[in-house]
Amino acid sequence: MFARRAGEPLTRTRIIAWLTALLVVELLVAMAALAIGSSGALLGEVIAWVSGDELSATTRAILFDARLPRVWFAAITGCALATSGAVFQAVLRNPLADPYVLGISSGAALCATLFLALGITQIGGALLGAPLFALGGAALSLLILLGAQRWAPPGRDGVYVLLLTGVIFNAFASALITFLKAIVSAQKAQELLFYLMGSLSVEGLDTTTMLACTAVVSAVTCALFWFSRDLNLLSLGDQDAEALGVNARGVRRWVVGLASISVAVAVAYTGLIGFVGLVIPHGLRLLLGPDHRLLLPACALGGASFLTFCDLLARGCFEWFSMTLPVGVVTSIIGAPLFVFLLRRSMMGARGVR
Amino acid sequence: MSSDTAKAGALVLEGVKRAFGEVSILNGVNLRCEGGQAWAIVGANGAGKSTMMKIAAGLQSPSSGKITLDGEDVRSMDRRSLARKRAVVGAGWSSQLFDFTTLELVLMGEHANTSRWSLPDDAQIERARAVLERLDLSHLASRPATVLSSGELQRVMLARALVSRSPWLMLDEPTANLDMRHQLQVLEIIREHCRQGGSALVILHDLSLVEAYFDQVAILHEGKIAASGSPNEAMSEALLSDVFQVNMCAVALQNRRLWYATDTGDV
Repeated sequence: MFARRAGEPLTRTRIIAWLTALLVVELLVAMAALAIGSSGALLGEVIAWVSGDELSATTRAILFDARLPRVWFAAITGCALATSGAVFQAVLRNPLADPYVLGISSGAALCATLFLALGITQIGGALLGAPLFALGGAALSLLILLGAQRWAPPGRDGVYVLLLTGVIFNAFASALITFLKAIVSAQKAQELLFYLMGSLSVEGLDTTTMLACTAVVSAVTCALFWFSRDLNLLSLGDQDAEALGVNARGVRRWVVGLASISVAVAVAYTGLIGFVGLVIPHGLRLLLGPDHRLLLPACALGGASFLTFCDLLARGCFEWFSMTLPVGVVTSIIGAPLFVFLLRRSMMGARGVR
Repeated sequence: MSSDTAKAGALVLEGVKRAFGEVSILNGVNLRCEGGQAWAIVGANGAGKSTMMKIAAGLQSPSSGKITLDGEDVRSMDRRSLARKRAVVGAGWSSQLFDFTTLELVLMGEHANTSRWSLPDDAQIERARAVLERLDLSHLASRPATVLSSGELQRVMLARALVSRSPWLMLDEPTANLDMRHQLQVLEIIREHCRQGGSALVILHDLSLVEAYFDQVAILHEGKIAASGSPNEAMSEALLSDVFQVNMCAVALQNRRLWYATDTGDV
């Protein structure tokens, strides 16, 4: 049911089986993440709640006011990062592509940093102002990228222009962020550092913002599913895709634009969380095969589970460090070696050794 | 195999010009290819054969001129309906990034005939396997396309084009990289396709094979069609010697002309 049988193309049974399995994993991880935290393990209480019992006011406060928003946000951020990573890898035909490489994350982070560094509180306060700035930054980097795609001579691939511009813009934005960190006060720099390392401390977010973010990320993710079959062809190259009936540049523009929106939402509230967009698509591609009709929804669920799990670890370390680690540190510490492992596996596969 | 190939309409190029910056590649190509025939395009390197094919396929726009396929202006057709009329295989396409299997790759030929959410059904898979069988590729069906040799990959691309059941086949050097058996096999399949009502526009360098397998030939020289017609009429020693800048000679063997080249002394 789960196996990619020799030569057999994707079947409906396999899609349903895998997505159900990944959904179960996500639910289990989310429950564990709800149960464990700095104010102690509440596993019994969570199980009681699931089976329909009433909870005490304190327990309710810890579970639903403190932990649930965080778990929830980890899930939608992970979903946004992993799906956009998978999408960028396909349209740019580069296994290293993800929102970071393209400079979309750093564009968003740069503007959010600018906002925090200048300490502008007049525009919507820190909670709304930073995301607005981040969205602006993502839009700006996107405009630069899509503008650059037009320089490609007609009939030639727009991919390399896009990729090179992204890498350059990324380096440029990172330099500006470092510059900002250097010129602000020590306390501000500390604050920025924490934000840039990626943190899911979103307890202060109100319900409306949470729901708005959820709605945006879900809508964008579903819109990306619409293009899954086109992405299969785009991964072969623009010429192949065009020959078989896909408007390569048109699809690329849509898909990169959509993915950037959900990346901007994620970066705005959580800072830079690395490796989710690399490790999850690569791992799932090894497991499920490259067909985006299964890969994209699987990345949505897998990314959510992965980030929720990393955040659980970040909070679980509380006792040792007497602080909650930034989740970006955890994803990178787990992600980098995992990526090397996956790389080795996929290279062996390409040599027919698997 | 492809007995359900739709009847091909005419492909007409009128005054097609194409320049890249200062460099002019095509200076007014006029060519009318009736449906149901196998057309070969010959010409020197850089003569604009691939550019002409891409323009005819609607993959590139001309600087000026008009291309009609089956009565419709190619430039006004969307890519999906275009893909239902013609299948194209370019030279050196399909960089394999992810490990789609050969069968999956071939099934992508159905893209324009199937809906966004559909998965390949049994009939499609059976048809794809039959095409693979015809091209001696059955044993590669479940192999990831990343491990195929360039000759194998090239035949897989042809299989994908055949699976699309588009009446026009446009192939850029389909015999390059292939061993003798598979060169003849590919040309035989092209002829079969045309006998069943389809058409083909094929860029080829081997003039003897053009003589043996094609109904019509167009010779592209200095951005224009220097001659077109049946290989017997259109290909003369004088013209081809001028086009290729060597002495082109033909010898008759079993009612066919075989072509060979000799040095003019300036090679």
